[in-house]
Amino acid sequence: MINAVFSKVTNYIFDAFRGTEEQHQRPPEEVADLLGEVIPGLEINQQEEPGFEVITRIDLGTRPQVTRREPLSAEYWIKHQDAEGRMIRIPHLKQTIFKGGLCHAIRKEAWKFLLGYFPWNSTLEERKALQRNKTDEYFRMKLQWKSLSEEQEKRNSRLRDYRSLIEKDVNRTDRTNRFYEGIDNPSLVLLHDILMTYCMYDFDLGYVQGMSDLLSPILFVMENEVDAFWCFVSFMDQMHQNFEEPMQGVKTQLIQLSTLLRLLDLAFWNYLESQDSGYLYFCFRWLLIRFKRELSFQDVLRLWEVMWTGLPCQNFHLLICCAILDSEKQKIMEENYGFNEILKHINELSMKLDVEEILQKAEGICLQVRGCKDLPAPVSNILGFPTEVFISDLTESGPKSGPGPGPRPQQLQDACSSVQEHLRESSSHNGCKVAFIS
Amino acid sequence: MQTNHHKERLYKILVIGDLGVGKTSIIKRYVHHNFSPNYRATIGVDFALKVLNWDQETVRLQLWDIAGQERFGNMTRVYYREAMGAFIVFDVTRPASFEAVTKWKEDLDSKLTLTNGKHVATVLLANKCDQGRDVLTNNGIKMEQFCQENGFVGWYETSAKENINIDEAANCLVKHIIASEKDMLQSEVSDTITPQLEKDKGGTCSSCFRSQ
Repeated sequence: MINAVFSKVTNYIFDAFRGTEEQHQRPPEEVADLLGEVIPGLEINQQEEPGFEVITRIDLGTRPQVTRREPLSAEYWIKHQDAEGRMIRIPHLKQTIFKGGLCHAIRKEAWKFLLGYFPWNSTLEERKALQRNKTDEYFRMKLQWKSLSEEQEKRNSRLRDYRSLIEKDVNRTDRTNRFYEGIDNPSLVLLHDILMTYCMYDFDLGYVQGMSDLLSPILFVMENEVDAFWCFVSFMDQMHQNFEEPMQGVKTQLIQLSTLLRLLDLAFWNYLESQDSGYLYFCFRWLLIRFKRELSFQDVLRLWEVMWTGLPCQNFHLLICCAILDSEKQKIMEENYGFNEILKHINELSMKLDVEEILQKAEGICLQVRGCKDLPAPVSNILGFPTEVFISDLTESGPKSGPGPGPRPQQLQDACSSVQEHLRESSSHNGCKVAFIS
Repeated sequence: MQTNHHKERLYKILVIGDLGVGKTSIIKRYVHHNFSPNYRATIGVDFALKVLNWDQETVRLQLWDIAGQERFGNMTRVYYREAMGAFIVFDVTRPASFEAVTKWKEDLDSKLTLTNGKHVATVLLANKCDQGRDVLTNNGIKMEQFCQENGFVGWYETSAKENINIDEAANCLVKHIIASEKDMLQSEVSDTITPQLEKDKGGTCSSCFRSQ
């Protein structure tokens, strides 16, 4: 009996991670080895006695129950300004936003702080001056592409390419949302102009598909070209690596996610690995544009403002991935989904996810992991937990990070590269290797 | 032959080509019978299922709509595995998207081979033919010859907007997929009736299931 005839795929994983410098075909087991170098799999210490496996069990303990709260209201926000307009009790504000998000009425103002466009300790006067300067700066950059003659643009293929990509994507970004629907909608012009101006702001990056998805909710909230531009710039500071050429940002995050998942749910990770899915490619879209396509537009606003608080830990979005996967693993394993079905299943979760449920679960996971002693260093590094330091009460400790929207790109990059280094090290050494079992 | 026992077949079909050539639109037209100029840009991959009746059998086509942006390229190629056929799409109004066709084909063939060592059946779609035929007429390209030289089993001028030739192109692809499937079955059958004992090879159990 022949049930299905499948074609064989060669090189796909190898190329994805290593580029295409080598094109010859490789047998699957060799590909797995190569992949193991990039994402170290479960390593077991066989040093002591051959035939025996030393497995270190890490007890994660039970996952604490957490509750979500009401969104922060406009009145509450205003109460947290001093006479000159400085925000006060900032850690408390951030914690409140983390726990419940923001009422829509206050988003336009609060997002500017969360994204780092406005410094938290600035006075109203200072912010007005800042906005004046930033307005000048914006229009200076906008004029740069606006004033190019047709002849000049003929000789500037990169700008031409950016423009054609932007025009294509603007016409297909959130067109079912009332803010962007219909022909000749002025919001589309703003979307276009901001993205074009961003090309002048960062010509090396220019425009990459996905960026219009990141801008659209920001423009929707700001309803102002200049403010939306600068908030977008701040958001792009965090997301920049995702769009750079070898897609290193997404690859690093996939590796980090894999590390987290192995700690949280080794059985599930092993299942995914057995289906050639251990590198978690099915999370690509989640990571590239921060769940923009997975949730309803309103839920995206909520999720993003919560993440921009930088709480409760670094790379919280990876724990959100873990939370979603945790809810799907039973189905995936019970139905014995293979590579294709897993991808399809995860892809089709789009618009079926409940943002509050995900946030609740992800926060629970964060507390659970943070409460765990002897956390492997790579995991602590990813989540930004201090290593070698005993952490006492977690729920009441409040935010430790300073002002600003979480880790800045350089810090992120450092954290990523150190984790990668660590992983590389631990996979190349034959010494003490530890398997995590939850 | 036992092939008639199948009441259902499932084929994974890739839809690839440059950004904005109309891959998503072709799929939406084929599966949902409608068209919008505002479909979102695909990030990563999207799926659609088309069910056909084919010689009293049910054929399910799982269409994989793969993002065209070059930068995602080395991430999205993982989706090629286990596909049985492909459409490569270009936009007749954009010469660059046609120039990219050979690149897409080479990429596909280098990453995906059937168990009998052959390439998957691929049909070339010249989309947006309602908007002109510049690429096809101006360059003096002989499409039949181009298809032969590049290993396409056929080509169609299509319009997702005007619903031109999309069913025809899909039928052509399915026909070739079924043919190549039969071809593979025959090669497997011939393998089983001429077993050879090769002591020197000494493979493990898992290697018994490998085709080569």
